[in-house]
Amino acid sequence: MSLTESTVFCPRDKWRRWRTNVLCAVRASVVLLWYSARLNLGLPAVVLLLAAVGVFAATALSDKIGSEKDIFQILLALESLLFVGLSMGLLPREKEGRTLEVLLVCARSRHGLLVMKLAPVFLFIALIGMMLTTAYSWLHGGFSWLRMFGVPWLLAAVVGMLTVVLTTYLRNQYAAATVAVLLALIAATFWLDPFTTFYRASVRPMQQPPNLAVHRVLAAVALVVLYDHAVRRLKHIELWMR
Amino acid sequence: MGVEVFPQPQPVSNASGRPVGQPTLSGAPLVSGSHRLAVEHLRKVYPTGLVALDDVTFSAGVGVLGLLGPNGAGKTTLIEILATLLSPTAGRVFFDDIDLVRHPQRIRTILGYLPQSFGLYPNLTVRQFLHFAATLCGLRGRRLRERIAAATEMVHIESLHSRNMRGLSGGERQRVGIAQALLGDPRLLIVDEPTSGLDPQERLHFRNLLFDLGRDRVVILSTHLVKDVEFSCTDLVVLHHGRILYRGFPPDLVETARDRTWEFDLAPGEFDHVRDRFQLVTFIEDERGGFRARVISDGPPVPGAWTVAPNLEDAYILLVGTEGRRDE
Repeated sequence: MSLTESTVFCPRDKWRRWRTNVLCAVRASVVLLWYSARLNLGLPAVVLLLAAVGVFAATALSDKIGSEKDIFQILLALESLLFVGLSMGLLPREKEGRTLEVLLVCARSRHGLLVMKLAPVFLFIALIGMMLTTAYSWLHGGFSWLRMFGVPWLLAAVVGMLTVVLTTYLRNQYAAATVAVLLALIAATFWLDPFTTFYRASVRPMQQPPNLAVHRVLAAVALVVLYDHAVRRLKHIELWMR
Repeated sequence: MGVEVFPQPQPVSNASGRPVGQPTLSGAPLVSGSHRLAVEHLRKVYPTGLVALDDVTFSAGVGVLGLLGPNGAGKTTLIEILATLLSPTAGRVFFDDIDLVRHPQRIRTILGYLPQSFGLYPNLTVRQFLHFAATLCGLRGRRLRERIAAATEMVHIESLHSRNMRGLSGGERQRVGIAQALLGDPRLLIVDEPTSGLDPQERLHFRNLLFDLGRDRVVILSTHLVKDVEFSCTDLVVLHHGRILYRGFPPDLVETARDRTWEFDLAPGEFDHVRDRFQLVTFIEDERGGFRARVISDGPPVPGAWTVAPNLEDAYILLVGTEGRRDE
């Protein structure tokens, strides 16, 4: 055996190899995220971003906000509509453009594919949510930034995930979006008021603040269940491709 | 003007000297090479009750296997099952002892697939699309760059790298499609009707390419164009109504039409009569307004008809036409 054909690896070599693999994996994930963002956001995202800025300007500057609940409701409604608008075309657009088959036969798991498709949408809306929460916080203040950002985003993500699942059942992405919005409206009107069910107001004098952790966990569980169902639908493509 | 010459496919011989795919006495085709695709008693019934495939069994080795059949024969269903997009209702599929139905993820690492109508992302350039597809395949770093370079060289699309995919012609699209299918250096390459919509020159290039690719991998070519099979395939499966009508070597199928392929001249006005009575393959109008007809018939169709050397199209018409009459 020649000197160059060393079979003994020192821990430093192991560490270097591990680090190289991790860096490569991170780089590949960033590349996929970049392409996915280019393919899935594009012009609709710019339009929705402008709409969000418009809604913020209209509500924040017109003195219509009297309480924390108003901010919560604006953020929830806006982010839900953004989620529905951006996720309704995620799978149907690939199906209509005949690119879905190529994606589905690539050596990547269904989880990997769905995460690749969803990640730019989730991140984009999170950025908008952060931006608006910060702006409202500067203008009005008096609430927990993290809670005001996180709870509407989580609930809106459930509605967005529901839209993705519905697009695999209904032939038309617009029908899927309509059904998702209707279901969210019906749920919010008849069973659970999102503000009292999931959000704890910062100031509740003379009152023990309620513990809503369980409700938020349930919302997260709903998100995971819907995601899992979307992955199952991707695995049985013939159920919705034909 | 130079005449373009394309290589005539030569049957790949296995260890016993028999050409690949030639049926053995037991009816089971021999396969060669280090890779083997085996389809066993495959059946696919759609939720609507449509039986798309019924007891389909065959095997294939290195080379190009043509899947031929009329529209609705079950070709695309079979291709989609082989590409792990559909699950069969019954039966098994193995590639190099990997069960496609049970372990689709394993097979996807060695699979290249070009669907029937290959969609493109209009806002990406060819280079960006291939980079995206290669990253999806799990390629990274130097290997990614090498594979993109190799695939683009193989299909001659180096000059298209910076072109937007929106502006590509049909042939260029198909070549980009085959390049993305080759990125992972697949051992099993599946192409579904790749030449439909291509001009004759592009079609010729594509046939040559497929033949070249079949030298060291299993290539499954689904088509309804007999010429594609005649010029590219070393092996053949003919499907009809979801069942295998023929499995073997294309020249053997051609032999079944020998002494049953006839040509004769027709006077104007006789065409309808001939079309109704015989299996018509082609007819050519002459300058006098008459026709020269080419038909399949067990005996002389008309006095004065002469036999001609059959081709694969004649044999295919004979096979499918006979089966069609049996169905009626």
